[in-house]
Amino acid sequence: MTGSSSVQRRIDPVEAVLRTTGIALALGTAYIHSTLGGLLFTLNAVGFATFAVALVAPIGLVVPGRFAEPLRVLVRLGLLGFAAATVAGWIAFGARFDLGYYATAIEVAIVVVMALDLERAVGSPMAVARSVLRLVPSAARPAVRA
Amino acid sequence: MPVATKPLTVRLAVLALTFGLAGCAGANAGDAPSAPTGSPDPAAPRVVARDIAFQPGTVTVRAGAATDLVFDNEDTAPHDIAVLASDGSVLFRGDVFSGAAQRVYRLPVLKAGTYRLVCDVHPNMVGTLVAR
Repeated sequence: MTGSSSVQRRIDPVEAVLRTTGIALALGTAYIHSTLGGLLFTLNAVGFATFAVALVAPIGLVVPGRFAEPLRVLVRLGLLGFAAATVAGWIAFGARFDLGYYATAIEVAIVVVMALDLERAVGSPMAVARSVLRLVPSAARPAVRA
Repeated sequence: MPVATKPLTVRLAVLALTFGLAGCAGANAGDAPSAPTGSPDPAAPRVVARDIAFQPGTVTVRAGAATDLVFDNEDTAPHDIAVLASDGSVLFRGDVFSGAAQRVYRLPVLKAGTYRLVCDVHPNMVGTLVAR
C-alpha cells in the first residue's frame, strides 16, 4: 500500500476496530490521569481526551480534501508519540503504584494499536512521513524517499 | 499487508516488553519499606494531604527515637509520604492511597536534623521534617 493510494481508502472493519480500541484506550488513560490531581496530570488527561476526539472528528468536512488524510495520519502519529512520551515520563519520574501500572499498560497498548493502524492505513514509516509532509507547502517540503 | 505487519508486530511486542521490564526494574527497588502501625502515639505528629499540598509544611519529631507519624489524605487523589535525607536517599516511604483515608506509620530512628517530605505521585508536593 502506498501513501498516495491510501488517500482514497475506505475504513475497513479491522481498522474500525483498531480506531475504536485506540479511542477507548485514550479515554481510559485520560480518566485515570484526571483522577490523580495536579496540573501535569490534568493536562495529560486533556491531551489524551483531545486525541480521542480528534480520532473521530470529521476532519474531511472542515479541511480541503488533500489535507484531510495527512491530518488523520498526524492525529494518530500524535497520539502514538504522546502515549510513548507519557510512558517514558512515568519510567523516568513516575510513582510505582497500581494506577501508574494500569495507565502505563494502557499507553503501551495505545502505541501498539496506533502503530498497527498507521501501518494498515498508510504503510511503512517512510510512507507515514510522506503523508504528513503533504501538510507542508511544497516549496518548504524536504525530499523524502523510501 | 500481512507480510509487513508481522515484523512490526514482533518489534512492538519487544517494545512493550522492554517498557514493562523497565517499569518493573525501576519499581522503587531498594526503598525503605513502609511500616504502618495500628494505634498511633497520641502525641504523634500529623501531616494532612489537602489540595495537593502537605499541611503543615513543617513537622517536628523526636530525634533518636522511633516515632509514629499520622498521614491523613483528605484529597480524592492518591498520595504517599516519603522521608528523604539531605542527599536524597529514601529513609522511609509509605504506600500510595487515595483519600479520604488515614495511615499511621512508624518512622525509623532519625538523627537530629532536617529531612524532606515528598509525595512520589506529585513531585511538587513537598514539606519539611525536623528531628530534634
